[in-house]
Amino acid sequence: MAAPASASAGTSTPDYDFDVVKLFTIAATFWGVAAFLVGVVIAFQLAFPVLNLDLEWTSFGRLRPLHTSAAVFAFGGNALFATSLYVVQRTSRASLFGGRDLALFLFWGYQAFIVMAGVGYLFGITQSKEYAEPEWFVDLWLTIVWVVYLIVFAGTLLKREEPHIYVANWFYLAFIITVAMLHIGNNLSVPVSFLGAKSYPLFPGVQGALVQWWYGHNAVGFFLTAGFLGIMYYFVPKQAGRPVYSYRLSIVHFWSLIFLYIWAGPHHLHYTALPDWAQTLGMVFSIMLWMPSWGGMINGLMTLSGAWDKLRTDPVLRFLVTSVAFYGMSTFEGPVMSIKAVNGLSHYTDWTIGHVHSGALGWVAFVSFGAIYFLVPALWRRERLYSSLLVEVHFWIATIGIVLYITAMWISGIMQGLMWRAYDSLGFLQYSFVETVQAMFPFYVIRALGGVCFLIGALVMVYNLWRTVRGEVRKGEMPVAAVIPAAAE
Amino acid sequence: MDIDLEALRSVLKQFWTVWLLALFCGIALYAFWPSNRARFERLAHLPLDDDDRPARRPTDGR
Repeated sequence: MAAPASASAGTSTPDYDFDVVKLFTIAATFWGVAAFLVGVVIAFQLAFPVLNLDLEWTSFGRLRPLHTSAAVFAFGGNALFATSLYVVQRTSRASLFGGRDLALFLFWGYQAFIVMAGVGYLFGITQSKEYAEPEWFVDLWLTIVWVVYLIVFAGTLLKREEPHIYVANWFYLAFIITVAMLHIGNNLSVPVSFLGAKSYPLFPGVQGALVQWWYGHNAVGFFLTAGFLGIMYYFVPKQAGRPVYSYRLSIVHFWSLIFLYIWAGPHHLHYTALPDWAQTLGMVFSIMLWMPSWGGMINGLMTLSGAWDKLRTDPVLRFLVTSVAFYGMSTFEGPVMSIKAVNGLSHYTDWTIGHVHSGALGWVAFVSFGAIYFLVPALWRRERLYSSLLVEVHFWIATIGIVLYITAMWISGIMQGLMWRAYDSLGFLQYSFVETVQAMFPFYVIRALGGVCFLIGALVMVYNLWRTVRGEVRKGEMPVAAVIPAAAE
Repeated sequence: MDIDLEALRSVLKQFWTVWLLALFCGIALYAFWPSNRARFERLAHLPLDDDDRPARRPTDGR
């Protein structure tokens, strides 16, 4: 191996703060299960509307943002907090800036945001902007928490012992800064009163729509992509015991993502009042995103080059690698769907839902599961996970769940789109709206069953992690020293 | 005679995509410049250089 990159390698380790990483890891696991559970409930609500219970608080319209926010911000967000604060300390060889109190404020402040947002949805307090539903007072609170996050993260980078900033930290930093910008820009609004929850957005009409999807798409691009690429660039090499395939490619990957992603938002507004040139601009930039996406995927997958056999023996690595494959797949599908002609068929149909979930379940959740399986033994100082077999069970049941989910939504969505645009010989629409809904019923049931599989897999993970924290190893499983080869060899 | 910075700025501003493209090409050149190769290959090992499995350390009884 090359000479250590670190100036301080071999000297005493810094006083790392992993307590807050533990808290964020627990929170990610908890909110993950909650998000999947609500997802299963609303999936069954679509198939069987009686499950709305005829109560306003449990209607689909209120539970749906609860599901998306729990998945994106509570599960994904806590996974990003946990991994970023772990990675930045490890690769900077420095403890967290601001000390334990600031870290604890970050943890509880973020959980308070989640609870305030979620409870608000159930009571109908929402500004009705997708992924930005929380009202102005919750947005202000999140702004404070987020600035503290930036201070803690950037402060740790500034006091680093390691001269170089590892590429995973670049992705995390881009995620933190861009989300701050998006959050503030999209939530500029005027409260109706100081004590009331209601506000009106500053930008009206089509400008408001453009700002919303500038935010919405870059929430995907920087929250669900850049942040999780930070996870990929640290945890895939760690788990594989090999350096990333090409560090140089990772630099180009980073900058091409930064230069291109921010322009792709208008593809959410094809065939609307948005000017045509802006729609086309969004489409062109979305297609160009193939390059960074696939460059990044190749970089992640080829890290395994020469060590592919580890996929057979290490189910945690399989989670990580499969997530990168799903990343490649859903970032191929996305640009295709952004092409206007394709979008004319796909938009407003279940195809979009299928696409989002191949990204959210296959990429975001799988890479988070991989990182959590890596982190728990490392943080609680356990020799190994309680059971590799249970990781294997989790992997397969979750994978089957995703396949059921996305294939059902592909078929349902394309069918829905085709039915909407079908004309009879006299030029009338061939199907009424309710006929399309009836036709989708079997696929809604299959989708819900896929969600059940995914939820069961997550519960298996919780059990496995719980036993791991207790320091147990499942009977009959040998203490596999080969799971993680020693890092420096 | 003084150069009119404001006029210069307004001319250059029109070509902002060109400047960004040039900046990106510069980054790509930097990343793939042959003499930087060894350094980047060394940096790729950065996360592997620390042992993050405390339980596996010799001091912990292994």
